[in-house]
Formats: sequence, structure tokens, C-alpha cells
Amino acid sequence: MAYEFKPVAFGLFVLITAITLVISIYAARRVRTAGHYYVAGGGVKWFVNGIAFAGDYLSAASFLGIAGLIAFSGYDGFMYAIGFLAGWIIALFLIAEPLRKIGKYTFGDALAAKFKDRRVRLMASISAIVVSVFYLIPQMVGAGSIIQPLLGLEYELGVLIVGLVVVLIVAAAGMVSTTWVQFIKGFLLLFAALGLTIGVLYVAGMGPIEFIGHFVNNPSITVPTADGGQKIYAGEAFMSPGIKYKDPWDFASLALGLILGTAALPHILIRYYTVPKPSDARKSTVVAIIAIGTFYALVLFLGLGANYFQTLDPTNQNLSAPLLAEHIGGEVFFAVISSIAFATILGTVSGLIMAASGAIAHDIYTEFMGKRGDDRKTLRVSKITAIAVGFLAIILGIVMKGQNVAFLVGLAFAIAASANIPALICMLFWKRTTSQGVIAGILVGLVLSIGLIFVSPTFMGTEEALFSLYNPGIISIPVGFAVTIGVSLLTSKSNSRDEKESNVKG
Amino acid sequence: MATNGYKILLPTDGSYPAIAATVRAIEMAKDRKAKLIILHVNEPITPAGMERIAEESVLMRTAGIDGVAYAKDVAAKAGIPTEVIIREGAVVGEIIRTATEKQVDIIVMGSSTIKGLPGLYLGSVSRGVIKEAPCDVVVVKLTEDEMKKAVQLAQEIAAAMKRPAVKFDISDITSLKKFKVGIGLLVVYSITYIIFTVLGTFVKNPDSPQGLSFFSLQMFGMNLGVIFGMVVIFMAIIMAVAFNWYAGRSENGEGGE
Repeated sequence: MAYEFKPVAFGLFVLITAITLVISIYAARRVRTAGHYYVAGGGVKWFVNGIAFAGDYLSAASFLGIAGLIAFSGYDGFMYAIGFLAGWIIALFLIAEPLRKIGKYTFGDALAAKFKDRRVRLMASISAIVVSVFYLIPQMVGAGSIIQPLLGLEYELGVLIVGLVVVLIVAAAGMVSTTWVQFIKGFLLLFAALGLTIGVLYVAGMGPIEFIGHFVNNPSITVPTADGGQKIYAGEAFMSPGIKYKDPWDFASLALGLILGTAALPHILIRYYTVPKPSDARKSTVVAIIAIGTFYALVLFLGLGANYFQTLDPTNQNLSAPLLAEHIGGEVFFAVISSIAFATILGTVSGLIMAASGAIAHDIYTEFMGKRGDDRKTLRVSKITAIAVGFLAIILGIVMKGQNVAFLVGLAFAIAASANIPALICMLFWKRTTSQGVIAGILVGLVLSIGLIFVSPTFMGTEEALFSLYNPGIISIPVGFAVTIGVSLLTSKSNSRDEKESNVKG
Repeated sequence: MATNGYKILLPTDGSYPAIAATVRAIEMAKDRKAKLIILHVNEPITPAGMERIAEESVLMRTAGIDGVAYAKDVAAKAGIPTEVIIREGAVVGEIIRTATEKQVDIIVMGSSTIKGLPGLYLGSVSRGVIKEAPCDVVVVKLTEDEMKKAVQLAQEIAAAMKRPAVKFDISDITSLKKFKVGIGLLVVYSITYIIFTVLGTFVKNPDSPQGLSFFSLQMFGMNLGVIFGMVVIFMAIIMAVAFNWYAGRSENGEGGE
């Protein structure tokens, strides 16, 4: 599909992006200056933090990716959304409070504090870098997708522009966006979804149940294909599982990865430390679950709406929601929706690049390699890393052109779940876990999940694939657990002997 | 050593500038026979986690040691009486509040060494304190040589202060009962989610010639898939709210966390 340059949309887009950046700079300053004294030093309110959670989480994947998946694959996309939400329940009930109790900021910090083994920190930071990079890909694909219809530019050029802008921001100053910015983004996203849903139902002239009923009873639902043709599904098939995932095991694997992945994302768990009290952390998670749950209930209407009005670009599923906005509310609404999505992506990408460069500069260079004390060199290392990761993200974003953003995020979740969840759960709930077990578990989970993705149909095509499932979770997560537990059992005896000896000496 | 009522407030976060300020504050406390009030503020508004770590590593703000323990240690060696205050809140606000409440005579603090654009971007605690303080403020700026010595000393002390290993086990959780309720709800939700996944993908609709899933069955003008999906979404919301209500009640009963 060819897109023309839209001057009004572009103007609005630049304006909203600029406002977001200004707010983020202002908020970042405010935190540390006298100005903050006047807000009574109360800290982040749990409500704000909860919406900020949603702003963090509902990045490109949910708004662009899931709407697109539903528009093109019907019900399977909705099951994705439910999996993303289910992950929060695990985070709320199982991981958050115990991890906060340890009082550390990251998964890696918590591991390093429990096992005083430098190699544990190294492994955790490698895992953080890999997960960040895999999480970056869908963000870049999403950003490129939005630039395309706004500027009428080639997708590749769009990815390059976004990448360069982010690298510039990060390398020059460091993006210190704050909770408030995420809060604003989260709120805007929720309102955008609500507004679009109401718009869809209004223009279609149907109530919500009637609208879904229309799909269920429609004998022929059209989905355009990339080669210019179209596929026609019966309504009852489109509205039940099986269009994207023909093999039920495929969905089971995805579901496992999604439900365990959320709790393994360090940038989500970290938010528990931004509120004053543990009870506030819990309350803000509840707000997040309400906000995210509501969003996912609405996203069904967005996806179906995009199909109803046929605002579909078969070469880029991710544009379904923005194109729907253009259909419902014209160019201005399109620009507003795109800008919100873009601002979210910008924040997430900068954060991820910072996290990856932080992991290399802080964990690997300073802590593991022991180069403490030379600030300038560390700063340089982290900047070089930020630039390198930025360019890697640009390249991967271009390579992954046309892939659905939610699908790509699903892969990142599976990797995070395979590498981090066994270590995290074992560390918290199983006393006999050893550092060797954790190292082996992270390593095997990481290598296996990525290896399986590379031999999956995503990379090798449906015919040649050595591993038939799109998502590796169902194999790599249990293996990660088995290795963590097995190696811990094998090494726990020799460790306890070491401890006893050192006790005698001490 | 007896003090003559002179009080010095030393806010510290374990960063290099704070270490420098510690060195100066202790020299001053010795000269003036003063009491040293060591303040650490846990800032609840941290930049969202990843940014925080990145910021730390980029700016190298922390010396990687516990600023309070360091100050106490050095003060004890110099025979200076100390009081430790840990507060939670906005850094500048808490420093001012402590200074007012304790009626300190002087605040001694480090100046952030962040230069250039990042410095502009982050703002400065010392600037905020100077603007609001009820008393004199000394912003310490050590020479490069002094700074090196301070850092070296800090690292020696950090090495000597073996950090206790974090021992965590499930019984340490604030309320075991609350945690069990959480686990119970989690199990219920997980089973629902598993049933949802299995019904949706593995169980077939007996009436469907194309072998569609169970979810294609219709009810109330919708299909079971949408109804079940919405139930799973709203169940998450209701469970979260219910757990929050329960936890809030049990906390109030126990006198809060």
C-alpha cells in the first residue's frame, strides 16, 4: 500500500511528540529540584503508578500488534491479549511482594545479593541484554510502521530515522523519563482505545453485543493477503481459535510464555519500588490490572472494527488501529493516535537501550570486570554500547519488516520466561538453589529458546522448519526449570561442605 | 566528646559527592564539637527502574557503598556522636524537613559532579536545598586529590564492611496468610486460564463439520469464545480488586505494614 505525506498529520505528530519529550525533561528535573518539595514529598501515588504500569506495558505490542492480529486472524489475537493479562496475575500474587521484600531493584541485583557469585550477575545481565534486544525489535517495527503512512516514507527509512533519533537522545543525555510521563502515556492510550471503540460502534450503528454477533453470524469475513488477493473465512471460524495457530500445541506454548513472561520482565517489576509502601505497590498492580484488562476488552472491538471497515494493510498488520482511526475520525484523529503510539514507543525504546547499555556498563564492565572508579571510561562504554545496541535494533527492525508486533513481543516474552523465571522462582521458593544451578538454568533457557526460534517456521518457513511451533516456550521453559533444579541438586552438596569449611575458618 | 549543642546535618546517598561531604562534615564536627545527624532519604519517586540503573551507570552516582554506614563508621573513629535518620520522600523536601525539625545549625552536602547536558537535565539537589534551607548550607567541593583519597577510603571501608547476605525465605513475607490467599487465588486463576486455553484449542465443537473449536458454539447472540474470554479478563480484575480489599483489611487489622 502506498502512502502520501500528510502535512497536517505530520505537524500534529511532531507537536505531540515534542510535548511528550518536554514533559519528560520537565518531570525528570522536577523530581530532583526544590519544585518537588511543594508537592509535599509524598512520592508517587499508587493510582499514578498503576496507570504508569499500563503505560509501560501497553506499548507497541498491544495497541498496534494485537489490534492487527485480531483484524487479520480473528479470535487468536484476542487469546494473545488474554495471555498478556494473565501474566499480571502471576506478577501480583507470586513474584512482586517477595521480590520487593528482598529490597533490590532488579532481578540481577536480587540474584547477585543472594548468590555472591560474580558469574551470576554476568549471566543475569547477559539475559537482560538479550531480552532487551528482542523486546526492541517489535518496538522498532512498530515505529517504522507508523512513520510509513505519516510521512509517506519507505518503512526502512522510517526505522532508520526512529533509531537515529533515539540513539541521539540516549547518547547525548540519557533518557530520564519518569513515572509521570508513563502515566500520561498510559492514560492517553486508554482514552484512545475507548474513543476508538465508541467511534467504531457509533459509525457501525451497532451495540457491542450486536457488533460481535455480526461477526459470528457473517458467512464471509474478508482478510486481504500480501499478494493482493484475499482470504474468506466463515464468521464462526474467524471468531474461534485456529486461524493463526493451526496446531493447538502452538497456542499452548504461546500461552505459557505469555503468562510467565510478564513476571520476568525487569522493567515491569521495577515499578514496585516507585511507591512509598508495599501496600501501595499492591494497589498500583490492581490499578494496572484494571486498566490493562479494560484495554484488552476494548482491543477486541478495535481489531474487529479494522476488519469491519476494511482499514487493513496486508503488508503491515500493525497499521490496523491507526488506519481505523483515520477512517473513523479523519487525518487529525489518525495523527493523534499515531503520536500516542509513537511517544510510547520512543519511551520504551530509549528505556530498553538504556537498560542494555546499563547492563553492559554497570554489571559487566564495572562489576564483573572490576573496572570500578574510572567514571569517564564507564560513561564512554555505556554510550558506545547504547549506540551499538541502537544500530543493532535498526538492523533487526529492518530484517523483521512485516512481522506482527504482538507476535514478536510474544517471542521476547518466551525468551524472558525461559531464561529468568526458573531462576527467579527457584531463588524465591526453593532453599537448595545454588549459583551454579541459576547460571546453568539461565544459560540453557536463553540458548534453547533463541535456538528454537531460529529453527522455527518464523525464520525457516513452514516447510523447512526443524521445530514446528512458532513459540518455543513449552519446550524451553520446562527445560530451564529442569536444568536449574538438576544442577542445583548436583552442586548443593559440595557447596554446603564449602560453607561449613569456611565457617570453621571464619 | 561532649557537644555544645551544635548540630550538623549530613544528607548522604553513598555517592562520591556524598562521601566527599562526609569527610568535610566530620572535620567540621570535630572542630565545633558538634553532633552529626546522618540523613538518608529513600526516594520513592525514582525514575522508572531501568532508567534508574542506566542513570546510575552512566553518571556513576553511587560509590557502591552504604553512605550511612560509611559516615557512622568514620564518625565513630573520630569520636563524634551521631544520630541516623532514614526518611522516605522527595530528597530536597526531606532534607529541609529534617533540618527544620532537628533545628540544625548547618547542612553539609555534596555537590553533584554531573556536568554538561545531563547536569542540566537532572537538576540538582544542592541547588534545591540552598533555595529552601532554614540555615546555612555548605556545599562541599573537594579538590581532585582530596576526592581521590576519599574514594580510596570509601572503597577500603566498603571492602571491610562485609554486606550481610540477603537471607530470604517465604516466612519472611509480611503476612504469610495474605500470601497464601494470593497463592490460592493464583491457582484458581491459573486453572481457569488453563481450561480456557485447552477448551479453545484442543476441544472441538461436536456440531462443527470443519472441526472448529468448542468456542465456536453460540450463546446469547455471541460465541462462547468471546464470552469466555471476557469472563477471563473480568475475573482477573475482580480477583485483583478482591485480593486488594482482603489485604487492605488484614493490614488494618494488624495495624498496618
